[in-house]
Amino acid sequence: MNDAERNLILKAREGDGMAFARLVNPYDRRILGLALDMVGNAEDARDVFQDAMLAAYRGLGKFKMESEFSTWLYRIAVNRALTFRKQRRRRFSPESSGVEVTDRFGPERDLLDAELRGQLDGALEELSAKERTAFVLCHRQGVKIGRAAEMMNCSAGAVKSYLFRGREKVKRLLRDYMER
Amino acid sequence: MDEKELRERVLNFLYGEMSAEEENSFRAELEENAELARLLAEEERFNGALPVGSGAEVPEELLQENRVLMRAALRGEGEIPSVWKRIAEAVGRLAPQIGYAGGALAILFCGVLLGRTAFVPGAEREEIGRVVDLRVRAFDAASGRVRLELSAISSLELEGNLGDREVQELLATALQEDMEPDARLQVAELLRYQTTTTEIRRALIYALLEDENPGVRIEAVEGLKELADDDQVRQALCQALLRDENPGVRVAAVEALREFRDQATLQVLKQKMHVDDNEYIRATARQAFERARDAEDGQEL
Repeated sequence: MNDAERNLILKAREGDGMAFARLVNPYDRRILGLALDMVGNAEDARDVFQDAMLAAYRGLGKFKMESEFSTWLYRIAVNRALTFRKQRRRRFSPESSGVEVTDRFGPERDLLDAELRGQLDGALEELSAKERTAFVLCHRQGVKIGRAAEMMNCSAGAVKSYLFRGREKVKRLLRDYMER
Repeated sequence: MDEKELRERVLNFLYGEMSAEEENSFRAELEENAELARLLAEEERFNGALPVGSGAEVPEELLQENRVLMRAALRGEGEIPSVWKRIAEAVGRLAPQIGYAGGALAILFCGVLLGRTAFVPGAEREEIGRVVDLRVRAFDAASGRVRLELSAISSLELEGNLGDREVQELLATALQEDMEPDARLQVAELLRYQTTTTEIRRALIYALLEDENPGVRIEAVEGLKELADDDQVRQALCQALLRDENPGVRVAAVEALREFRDQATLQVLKQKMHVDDNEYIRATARQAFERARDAEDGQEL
């Protein structure tokens, strides 16, 4: 953790919201992306994001500055997303938000992948909470397994196990699509 | 080695979990082990359809909207106590009856002291010339102390208090100059703490309606929010709500206007509750409009 980040944390702990906004600025896009992948639509992702950020702001006093701030923030976001999913299980409905969620490969790819995205959302619903978290973190978000383990508060071996199991399930559920 | 172990090695390879040495050995083994090569091809087919790191991209408007909502929520979490409040509370703890009077005297004393000593002599706006860039080097929200670095004919630093008229005028002018977006954003953020003068109000309105950077426009809304009792400010916020192409700016504007019940604002809210692209804006405008209508006991607005 660099000095600038440490200073912002200290200021935010004293109630400086602007310092907190600056502190999370480098990570908020990815946190929102994670929330989108975890809950499947923009409206619910907004709730998870806001909830996670407020929890982080309120809980800054408990952050010991021994680990990376971003890992700590991600962990909160992951937990909030899991709690959210547990409390409000519902199907992904793209019409529920005015904002269209796309993948990272441009509009042509969007058209080709619209069906895959729908299938994937359905497949992710079938995974357990830990399998989904590991799959979203490592496969969708590209987080390394060791870091995902810190975020999920478990061993790297456990993350691998969840990831591989999740991957097998997704593969099985998308088999028809993949074999076309 | 059974299939499970082979598959685990394949996945370690695909997720970049192997050392360079392990990777070389894995590649060499692929030449000889047909089963390993088959498993790799199978997993690569999956990754081809669903690449690693292909998670949902966050649309800019969704991010901006969330940033605005987060900042609004943070403000609700507890404002930074002002110097006045801190001193008043400190004195109040010692002698509650004279707390506020003592605080006022202390503030007056500090203001006079800072005004006489802190601001760099000779750093008035006229002597600096045309400002071409400005960086906020340090700002202490609690005390209002600010350190600025300006690029004019030459770069210089000056230090003063955000309450100083010279500093305010400088920042207000800078916000309307053709500086880097990042610099304008910093200035707009800073001016949110000091919105009392006409120059600053004018600069924030200018930034809201004219700045090309949505982040600057959002900061301008945040600063103007406190002044929305003023007709001119409210008019600017209404214009932003009606015309700004960035939903983050419109979200900030609708948040700023939601408590007002004058006819002009209500007409804008009424319009936005039907036509805005953004669901949150439509919902917020509808709530504000309906609350105002209820307050009018069902009378036609």
